[in-house]
Amino acid sequence: MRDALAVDKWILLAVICLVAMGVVMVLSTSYLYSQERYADGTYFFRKQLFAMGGGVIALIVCSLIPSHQYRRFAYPLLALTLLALILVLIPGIGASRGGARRWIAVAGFAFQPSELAKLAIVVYLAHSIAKKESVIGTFTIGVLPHMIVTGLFAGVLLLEPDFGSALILTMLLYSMLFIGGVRLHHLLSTALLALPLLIYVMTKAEYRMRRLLSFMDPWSDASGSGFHVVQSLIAFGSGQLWGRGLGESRQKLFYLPEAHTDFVYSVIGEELGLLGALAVLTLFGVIIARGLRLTSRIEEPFDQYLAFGLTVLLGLQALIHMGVVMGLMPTKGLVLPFISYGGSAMLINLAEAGILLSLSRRRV
Amino acid sequence: MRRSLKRNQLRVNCVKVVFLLVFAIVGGRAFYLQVFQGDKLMRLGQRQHLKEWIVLPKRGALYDRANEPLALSLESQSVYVRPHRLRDAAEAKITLARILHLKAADVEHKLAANKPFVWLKRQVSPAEAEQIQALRLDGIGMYFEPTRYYPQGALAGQILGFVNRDSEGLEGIELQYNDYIRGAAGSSVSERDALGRRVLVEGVEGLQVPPGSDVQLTLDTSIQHLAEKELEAAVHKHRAKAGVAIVVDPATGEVLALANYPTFDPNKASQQSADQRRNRAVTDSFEPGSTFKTILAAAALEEGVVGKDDLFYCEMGKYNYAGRVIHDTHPQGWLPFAKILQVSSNIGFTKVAEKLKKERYFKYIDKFGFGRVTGIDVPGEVPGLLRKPESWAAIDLATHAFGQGISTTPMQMVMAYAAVANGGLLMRPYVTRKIISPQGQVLVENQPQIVRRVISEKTAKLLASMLRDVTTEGGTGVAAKVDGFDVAGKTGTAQKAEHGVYSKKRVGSFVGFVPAENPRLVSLVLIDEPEGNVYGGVVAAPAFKNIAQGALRRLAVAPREGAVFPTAPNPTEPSLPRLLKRPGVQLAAIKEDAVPDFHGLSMREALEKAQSLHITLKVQGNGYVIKQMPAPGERRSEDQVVVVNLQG
Repeated sequence: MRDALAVDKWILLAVICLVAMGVVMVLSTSYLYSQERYADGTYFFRKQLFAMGGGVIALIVCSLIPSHQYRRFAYPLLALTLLALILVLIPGIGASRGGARRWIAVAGFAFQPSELAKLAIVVYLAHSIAKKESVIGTFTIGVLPHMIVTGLFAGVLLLEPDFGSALILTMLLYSMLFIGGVRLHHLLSTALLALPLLIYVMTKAEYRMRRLLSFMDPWSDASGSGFHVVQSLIAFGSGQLWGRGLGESRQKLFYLPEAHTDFVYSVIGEELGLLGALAVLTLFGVIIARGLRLTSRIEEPFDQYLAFGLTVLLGLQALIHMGVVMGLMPTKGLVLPFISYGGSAMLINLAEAGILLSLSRRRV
Repeated sequence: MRRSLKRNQLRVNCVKVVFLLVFAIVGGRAFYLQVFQGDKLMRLGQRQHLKEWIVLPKRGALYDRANEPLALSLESQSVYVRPHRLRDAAEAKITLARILHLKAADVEHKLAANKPFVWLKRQVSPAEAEQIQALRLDGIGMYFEPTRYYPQGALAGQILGFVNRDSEGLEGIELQYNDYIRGAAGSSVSERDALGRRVLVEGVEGLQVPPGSDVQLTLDTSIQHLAEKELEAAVHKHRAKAGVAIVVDPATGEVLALANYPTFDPNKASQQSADQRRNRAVTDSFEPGSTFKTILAAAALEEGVVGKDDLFYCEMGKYNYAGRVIHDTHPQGWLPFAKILQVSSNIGFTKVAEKLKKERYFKYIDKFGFGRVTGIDVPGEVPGLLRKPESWAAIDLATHAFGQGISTTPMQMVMAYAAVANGGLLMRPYVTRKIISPQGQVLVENQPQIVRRVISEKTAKLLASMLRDVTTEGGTGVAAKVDGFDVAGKTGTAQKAEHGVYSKKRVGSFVGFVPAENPRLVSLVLIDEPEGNVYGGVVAAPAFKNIAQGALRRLAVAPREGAVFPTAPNPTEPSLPRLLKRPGVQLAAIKEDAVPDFHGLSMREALEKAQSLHITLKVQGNGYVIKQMPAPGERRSEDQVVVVNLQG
């Protein structure tokens, strides 16, 4: 039992706080929407509570598995995820909502394999980079295989389409290769080569292009393409220092799209003010700071890369979500880990936190 | 110790710095937005949350005089789209276009709109609403809106008017009494969600919007229907452009029917032209032609300038006056004044006008209400065109005499004849009896309103008898004669002036009242631009006859004694107090001390007769008096009660 609790208390505490805050915010943001849609205000809330229960179990289980054991999961997890990602694309198996195929029915639940993909790639990269540590300086062995595998996953995600997750995978790849000691000119030249591809993907879909343009100047078309950004800014800003108070958001009354998922931080800003917004930011700061501290302290390569990858994964998602909400980045449609509504994300994010805790055992 | 550890450490530190930087940016941005921009963004938000939100109350209903509904408010659903929330527009487009019977291109356009909220289709049918509901599409929703329904379709469309989608009356009674019909509570400030719906927050929850008030009109649906049918038939038969038919109660000024052709169906207001919407009876003015001769006749008789039997030489159809030649259609020699009216001699009337002089003539034109609005309670009334006598040229005296150089609305003309019919009183016409609040309180009640006395009762009687001759053998309006009744009236055929020059186009009309002795209704039929035979006596008089005949039945007016007339009356139930107020009713002299004879009278006539003789009448049944107790001729007591049995 003492062994079970010999983990990073700061990370555990931050995750608990975020999850607790999350379920409250899901209730606050989804109540009217689910009332309108299902004539049941607590429909989303109850689903989220259920996912949280599952997530807590996942966290405990993952934190109890000895960290070096995760190495074994690398390839099976990768294969399973790829299968799921391909299944999602097959009509009849993958469920389509609002024009994107992102869900797959597993035992009566709609599961989002893209959440699993992020974890699978982190575990795979940690394992592979650790294994190839001695030849990491070479391009063909140290860089190319990782790029091909991650690129394949990102490509499949783009087919859904899920541009946000594909972007996260790419950023994970580069940050982990960077930590793994890949030569900088390898990273830079591949990035330069990938740039035309990125531009092509960005401009191919008209809606992404519009998002990009509206991000530059959302107020030029506040009722049109800049609508989401403007509404989000209005929500976030009108919270001011102390916020309107929990449950008092006006913008969640259908002005904000997806107030309970992609724009939950906006409502946090509106209802809880600067203090609430900074509190959430600080909690993620704790996870990132402790995660990176852990990274520096671990000597085993796989464990080190895994801790780094998980920290970057959680931190990136949180910061991108916040950046989007505050108009710092084009709208992406990324959920805020531990807080936004969504069962798959809740389950996987808590599992990731569990793995991070396992990695921290007896190391802090 | 691993070789790369040191390099790793350096790179981890790099990442730490990057994260720290990003944290600073995100935190700084939050601070900037919430502290520096907070006020501005909050105001921007309030502008969209707090907006004056018009709460649409249920409009009151419109009824005819027998409480037959003419306009009702129903609640129907309108479909909206929130384009930003709609995910699969391409798929939705096809489904929505199919269900709502819209063009796919139009739907596509709306779904792609750069707005948070767009109406897709307003006031859909229940079947459409059900299918939309079943779709459960994100971004597509429905909202209850009151909708106006006119159960009689085009009946009296121009009088009723119509409303826009925001429940605002735009024409007719809907506009005239909009403030009452629409409901008192107009708007309130409350919070709105992005759909523009009221959000129940902070004390606005209890906001109840009381419905509007109901309006009872003076129109009689069956007479209105008859007038519209006959008018349309006449217009079609003579291939005319338009037409007006009016039926008014001369004693009160109540409009019983007001028909316009082309017709207008307020249920389809947006699809109909402004031409159809126009209530020509008040918005259009016409040169009246010979129907205006009655005004001169009234003036000349009242002023004692001429007598009924005064002779005038009609110059055998050609008369040089003020440098112009005045013609008669049928050349005449010496004629008494009554005959001049009967045959409608322009030359005869010119000579009468010469005797009267323009100032005195004008005084009566003015007193009869020409050149100013009648004050009827429908919007858009025009005063017509009347020039002051100071500006009349010498010829104008003659042209006015036969109804040229002046323009009048059909309503003005009807009310002028109503004044002759009711014994000399110009009444204000009205189409609204009363306005009743949702609580049953009478908010407005129109009473018969005398504008002024125009001519004496004696002159009126005399003129009525002269006008009766117009519909008898040798008169111009024989076609207006109603079986079993004496009709008093006048035909008119006016040339239409176009760009200041008289054209070949004509306006044929007939206006008159019936029964001539004790008029119960005044009616005008005007046919605009008939083809072929254009005379008022041909194009308008037959329609007058049919309308008058049906209306008399509807009003249960008994034909004159001795007339063989198959009646199938459908009596209305006029309210007693209104009857008793009825002015100008002429009654035959009855022996003071005997019980009068009520046999054959309608309920209304029987009540009038009883009232004038201070007899209390007990009425049993409907229709005409077939039995009375005590029998006529018996000695009557001080406060005699007579029981009458009616049967229709």
